[in-house]
Amino acid sequence: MIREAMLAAALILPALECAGAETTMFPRLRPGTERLVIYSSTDLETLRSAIADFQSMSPEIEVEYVDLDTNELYRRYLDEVEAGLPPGDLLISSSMDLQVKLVNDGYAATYASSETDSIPDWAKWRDQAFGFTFEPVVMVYNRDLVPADLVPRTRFDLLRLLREDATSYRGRIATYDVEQSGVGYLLASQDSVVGSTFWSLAETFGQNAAALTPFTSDILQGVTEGRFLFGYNVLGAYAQAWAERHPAIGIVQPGDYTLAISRTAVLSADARNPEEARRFLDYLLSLRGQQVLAEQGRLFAVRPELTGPYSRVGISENSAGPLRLIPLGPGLLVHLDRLKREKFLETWRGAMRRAVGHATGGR
Amino acid sequence: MRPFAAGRFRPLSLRSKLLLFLAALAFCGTVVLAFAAWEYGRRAADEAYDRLITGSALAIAEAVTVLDGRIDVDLPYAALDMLALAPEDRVFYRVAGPGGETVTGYDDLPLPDRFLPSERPQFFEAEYRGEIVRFCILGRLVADPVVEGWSTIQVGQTRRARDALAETIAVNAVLPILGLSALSLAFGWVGVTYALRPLIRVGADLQARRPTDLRPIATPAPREVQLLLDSLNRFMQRLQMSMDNMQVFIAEAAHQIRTPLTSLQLQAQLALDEDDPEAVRRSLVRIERNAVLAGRVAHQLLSHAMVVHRGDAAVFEAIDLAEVLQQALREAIPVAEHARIEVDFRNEVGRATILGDRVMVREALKNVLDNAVRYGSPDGGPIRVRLHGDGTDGSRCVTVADSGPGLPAAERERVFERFRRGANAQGPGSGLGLAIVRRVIDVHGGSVDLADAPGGGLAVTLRFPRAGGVGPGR
Repeated sequence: MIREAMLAAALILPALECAGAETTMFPRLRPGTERLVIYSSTDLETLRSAIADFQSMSPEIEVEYVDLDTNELYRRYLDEVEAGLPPGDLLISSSMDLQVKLVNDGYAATYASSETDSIPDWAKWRDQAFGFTFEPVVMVYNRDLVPADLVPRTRFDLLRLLREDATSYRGRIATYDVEQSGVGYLLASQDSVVGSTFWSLAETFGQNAAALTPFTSDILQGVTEGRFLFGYNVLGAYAQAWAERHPAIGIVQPGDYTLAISRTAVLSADARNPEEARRFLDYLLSLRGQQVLAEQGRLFAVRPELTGPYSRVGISENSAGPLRLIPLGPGLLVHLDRLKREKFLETWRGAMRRAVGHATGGR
Repeated sequence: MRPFAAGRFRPLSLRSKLLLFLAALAFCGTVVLAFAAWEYGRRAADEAYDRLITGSALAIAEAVTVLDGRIDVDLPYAALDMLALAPEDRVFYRVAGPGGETVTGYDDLPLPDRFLPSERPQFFEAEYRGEIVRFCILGRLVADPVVEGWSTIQVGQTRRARDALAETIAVNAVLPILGLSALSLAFGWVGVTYALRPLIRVGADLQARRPTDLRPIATPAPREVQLLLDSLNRFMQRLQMSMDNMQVFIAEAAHQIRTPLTSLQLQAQLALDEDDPEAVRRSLVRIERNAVLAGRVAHQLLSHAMVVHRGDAAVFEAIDLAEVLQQALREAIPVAEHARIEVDFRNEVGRATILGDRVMVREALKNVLDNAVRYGSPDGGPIRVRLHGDGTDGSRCVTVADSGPGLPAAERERVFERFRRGANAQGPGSGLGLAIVRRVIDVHGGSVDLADAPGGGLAVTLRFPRAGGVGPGR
């Protein structure tokens, strides 16, 4: 997660405070009593303009934005519901699997409107989970340090590159630590389902002592600085935003297949402010909201009507290979199975056993 | 046809009745079939999606192994992903070890009431996490030196896709049924119109006839209507005969009245022209005779008309035949007029109660007695009147035996016809007497019998059924 601290106001909840939770208040623009609590795994900067735009339309709503890791978000929400404490009204997470689990286990409210009707079926489940972005998962590399002819276009290219040169890339590849990062685990597990190369790649990562981190910013920062040459499985929206500020970053949509996730919103069944949550969801899915997300937040629009670089059309134009959408649905529950997860992580750890250390550096 | 009393509903038309029944049939049929379709749809949907969850459970069962002395499952991706074929349904699963302990999945899933671990999948529904969930549960035998027994695999899915499929099936089944119902009503309408056409044709035929036209209806008609037409035709035939009879009667009656009146008129004129008192007196005697005849004819015509009328509207009550007979005797044989006639009356039964119309019975008896006096006692011979029972069935009989010339057997049936007189009838008579008797007896369900009286003469027996016996017939 990008966690450049730009907090207007940070409130520390006395109870159930999770380690990385950062709360930002958006005071209401007009006197009123309405409020909305958003739990989000999305970097605030990405959503700031959207929230501001939403408030310009609904000035009487105060928005409390709690930035949490995907796993933290899931845990904290369940803990709060269990304890009878007021949980977040709207949950936004890129961990589609955890969101699906929330829905499956009955923690989500049902909502249908003309806006929710306008998103594609794969980005919606039971009118309870709503994908509002469309984000390719990419590889990044350092333009200055990786010669153009060596830039891998597919996972096979990357695999070959790492295998052929056992020393040059040692410690210079970074990817998510799937044990700590919810979205990292989602991407890795989907890789293992979709592609045949994943475990070979993981082994190669281990042999090359790949750096593992739960934070996208670590990967992007490291690649920018040249500590890492490659970053694998980075959310395209962050990479794109980063690349606009750091020309050293090059982005590749893998040509064998490009995973695409959808940031998913779930309305809490225990929401204290359900009406405001529905209004914000409608805003996120509206053409206006999608436009703002795309242009200000670099979050690709999920609505098929939108065109431009940050639309589905834009992605397809840049994409060399097939897009593998991760559809919202019960299939995502498999890798959340306790035994399955244990096995997966065990295999992962086995593959990583030669990795000498984790990436250093904080956020 | 009788007009309907005010305030009563006019009966529904045949068309409305038929269509009402058809509509009721269509409605009931649709309701029943809709239920059946819904039930069938639900079963079919359950069957289809049960296969899905069974497939999922089997896939999981395949993956159950024993690892380091513990049950272990490597949940196959497809096991849950295949359930996305019901894209909007929540999915729950659980794998339990032989001791019932949860190995993985939701550890608070509801269990069926009874479950004997077996590889045959068992299905049940239960509410779980706020929704009705259909579960498949099956067992897998684990044979391992350390862990042994049945592990159970349970997979559940909410009903959204099932209900949607059931609804689709039901709606697809009900729509044609509704169409068929509408079609049957439409065809019913047309069919009724078509089927009723013969009736309307017959009606139009009858309407177009002159009042006197009683010819049979020749319009061809379907079997059901032909029955009605046949009855109608028979009825018209009887009406025609009855009208013919009436015309003959009227003509005959006119003739019968006119003849004595004409001779009365002639004799009166002759008497007026006569100077000789003796001749006048002879004419007056003839006039008197003719007047008596005319009076008698008129009386009998009226009597006949009365009997016919009463026969149509007879009032039956319990009457004593003996009493009526005595009254008839007094009226038919006034002592002053027929002093010379010897009447021998014997009542053998005492009170003789019959069910009958007092006036008609009296009229019949008077006619029989009158005939006996008139034709049966030429030389003052005795008339024997006997009131007796009929040995066989308790009927009450009146036998009037005269000492006249009798009636040849060949003529006996014919004298009952109107205006028909016996061959040896002398003196004035209308020929209506026995016709009246026959009519009365018929109305009372009795019989009249002509026989030779012992010692010559005619014996007329009128038999009336006993009161409480067979009801009056026509």
